[in-house]
Amino acid sequence: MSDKKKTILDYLNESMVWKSIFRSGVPRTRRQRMYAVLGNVFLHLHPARLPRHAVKVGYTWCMGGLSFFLFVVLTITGILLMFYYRPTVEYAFTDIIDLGEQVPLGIMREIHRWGAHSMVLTTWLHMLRVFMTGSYKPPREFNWAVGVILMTLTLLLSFTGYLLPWDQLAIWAVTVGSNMARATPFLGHEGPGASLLAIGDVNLVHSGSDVRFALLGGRFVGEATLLRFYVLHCIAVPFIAMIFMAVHFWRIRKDGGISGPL
Amino acid sequence: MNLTQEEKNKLISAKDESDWYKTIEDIKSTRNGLYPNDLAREVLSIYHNKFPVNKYPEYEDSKQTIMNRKSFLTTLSVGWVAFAAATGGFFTVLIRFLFPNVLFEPPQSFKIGFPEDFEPGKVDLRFKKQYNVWIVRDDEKIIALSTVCTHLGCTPNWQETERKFKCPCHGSGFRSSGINFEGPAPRPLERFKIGLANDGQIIVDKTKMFKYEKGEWNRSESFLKV
Amino acid sequence: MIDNLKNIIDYLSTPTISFTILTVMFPFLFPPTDWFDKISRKFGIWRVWTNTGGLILFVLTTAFFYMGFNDDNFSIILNKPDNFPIIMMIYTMFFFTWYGMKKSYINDRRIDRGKKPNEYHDPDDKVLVWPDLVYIEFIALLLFTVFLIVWSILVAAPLEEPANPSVTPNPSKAPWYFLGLQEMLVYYDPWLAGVLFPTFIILGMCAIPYMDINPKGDGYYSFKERRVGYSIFMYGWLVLWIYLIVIGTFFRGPNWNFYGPFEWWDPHKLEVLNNVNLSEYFWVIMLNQPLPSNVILRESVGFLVTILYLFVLPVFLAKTYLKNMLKEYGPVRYVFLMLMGLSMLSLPIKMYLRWFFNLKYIVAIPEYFFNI
Repeated sequence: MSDKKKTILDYLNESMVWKSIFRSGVPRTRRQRMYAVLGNVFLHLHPARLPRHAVKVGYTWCMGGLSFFLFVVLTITGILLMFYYRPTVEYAFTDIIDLGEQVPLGIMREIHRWGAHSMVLTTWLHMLRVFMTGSYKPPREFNWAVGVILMTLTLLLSFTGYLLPWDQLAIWAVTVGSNMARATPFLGHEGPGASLLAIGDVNLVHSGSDVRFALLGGRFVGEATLLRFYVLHCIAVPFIAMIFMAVHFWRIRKDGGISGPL
Repeated sequence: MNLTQEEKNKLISAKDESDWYKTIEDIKSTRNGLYPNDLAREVLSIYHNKFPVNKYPEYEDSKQTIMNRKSFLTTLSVGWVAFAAATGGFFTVLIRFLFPNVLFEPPQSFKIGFPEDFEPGKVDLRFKKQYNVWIVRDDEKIIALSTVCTHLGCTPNWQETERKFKCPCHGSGFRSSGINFEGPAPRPLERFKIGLANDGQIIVDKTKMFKYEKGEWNRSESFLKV
Repeated sequence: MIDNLKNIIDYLSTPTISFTILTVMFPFLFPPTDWFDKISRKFGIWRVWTNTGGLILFVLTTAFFYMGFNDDNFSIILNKPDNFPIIMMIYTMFFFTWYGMKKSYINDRRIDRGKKPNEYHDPDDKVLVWPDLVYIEFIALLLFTVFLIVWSILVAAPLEEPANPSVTPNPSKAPWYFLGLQEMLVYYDPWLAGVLFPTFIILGMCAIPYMDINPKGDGYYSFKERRVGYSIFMYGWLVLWIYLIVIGTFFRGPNWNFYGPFEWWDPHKLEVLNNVNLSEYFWVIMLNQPLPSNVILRESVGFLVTILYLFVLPVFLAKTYLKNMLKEYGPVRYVFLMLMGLSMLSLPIKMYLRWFFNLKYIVAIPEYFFNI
């Protein structure tokens, strides 16, 4: 033992600071490796040990993990984009141009946009995998429902973000998308039954008081809409999504970990 | 050695506790201070009969005020209903929060020029951009058509050669009168209130709409006779 | 020769034909009963789910896109930066559906022979998360990051002209993941296609585990043990969602007209779209009289058809063909499954009614925005 010279890494691993952070030491033995997972709040999403099929990419396709990873990537790039972007009709479009031309490393918006498209795809593929392996069956039925809600939230996140560049593509995609809301039964001013909600001659549900107005903050896609979608995109929907993600991940463990044949 | 009948009567007829202790002292003194256990037992039994001891006075007191099962459930449900109503009320107010009192949108009523400015049989596209209306003049009247497609609210384009409004979103087609004739649009375009101002100019008021399917296009405000 | 091929592809990809081909082929690719399975095996259709089949599928798709990128018209659409995710979607959906089905067929054969599925391992033989899983995750994450950064450097995010509320681009499309809904809007009114159907899709998807009471096939790839539910889901997913997105992205041009992939997007292409309501068919064409002024009387036929389809048909089926299903699933599940299933089926039905009879609405009450 003593004849082997200690490397700088050994000194580091034995230092008080290192040991205070990573209690289990360098994971060399089986026991230490289990402790490495159990003692780490992030790795503790996983159990310490898994059935052999559960680590095969051929079984899991890694899509759930990639979806979460993309959520993290989008959060980080999104925060960076927020430093430069102002959600007003006057500035939004030029800020987007500046993001590409006046800011070093001008691919931040690209990473954000392509990452968002990829996240829609990875959640879809994750759902396809879970369906194909029948993993939604009891006891995981509730977690499937949570997953469906998460997928819907992913689409909503992507949709609210679509407006922010404030170009022709954005405004018309959102106009077409949000116009469906005016046809909501009873709640939209062009929905069936809306004209029945009236006191005498006064309609309760009109273009200034229906569900579409609440979404857009106006009768058409404009300044107020941009601000509303910005807030929904940056704060509201991610907040809700994070709550559901916490439930989703926690339930995977509580429902018996990853599915597998008995 | 027992109490005599006379002594018993005396004890029973004692008015209150101080009277009682006086009687006891009397009996003690008549018996030269001798007070054996037997006697004590007898005295005690009379005492318990005369001054019954209440073991759980607080419980007995509260028994009067505590509610029974039925009133408990009533109170509980009233409480929950009140809670639900308060929460519901709060969220209703929250929904109201989404609808501001002041809207900074273009004016809903505006002047567009004199009737002679519009050629018969032509669709005027000048006010599309600012006010979202087309002014259409045919042989006998001028109308103000909404530029919002009745299908999903896109803005159709006027195609002069085919003489129709064609919606780029889902291909709905409308004639210059606003009647829908192709594509998914469920009903004709809406017409706005149109009239003459005091200076002879045409004034369009977008707050009032006229729908064909409700038979409102016959109303005098929905068109301007020329 | 190439031009002829392009014309043939253009012709085949019209919704009327491509949708019919897909719908007819579908039960042979995902056979829900023994009969379909027999035919599928007789003609070797099942071989799609083998390595050879996958390779052919891949070569065909790639050849199609290769032709597309070299075609003057199609390359304009394909080179739009926002359409790249759709190409990615087509490849990944093809690949993963094929991959999952391949594994399912292998497992089905194993189960038929009384063996455990491929995924089965001795439950006591476990692997450690550190390092076995953590490293796989790390590698997947790295590869994906590299892919994302390369993609971001190569393709600039699209930015068109500044927003202008008075000029609607022709065509104007929703984000690609909503194009399935936008395509439904051609056939259904917004309150159905834009509000009710999405709600039904979310609700129905959430309800899948509660409706599917078949305990088999949990935790491994399998098809045969759960083929009915499997093929219904796959039809909804691949044909009524993915296929409609592809149609909406690649094949819908100006005025939302249909254009074949190699066709020029001519904004003046004329398509006869004179659609007729059921009430007009009944009163004007059949009975040769004007439409009644009473709304309820006018639309009585439409209401009757709708009630027959949504309410009488399930009761009829419960008494005849689906007697066993009602017994097995119980009334609540049966009613829910019927409502969801019939709503899903109503989309292709309405599509065909539109294509063959120019039928616009079954019930048309525009006065109250109530159109079916």
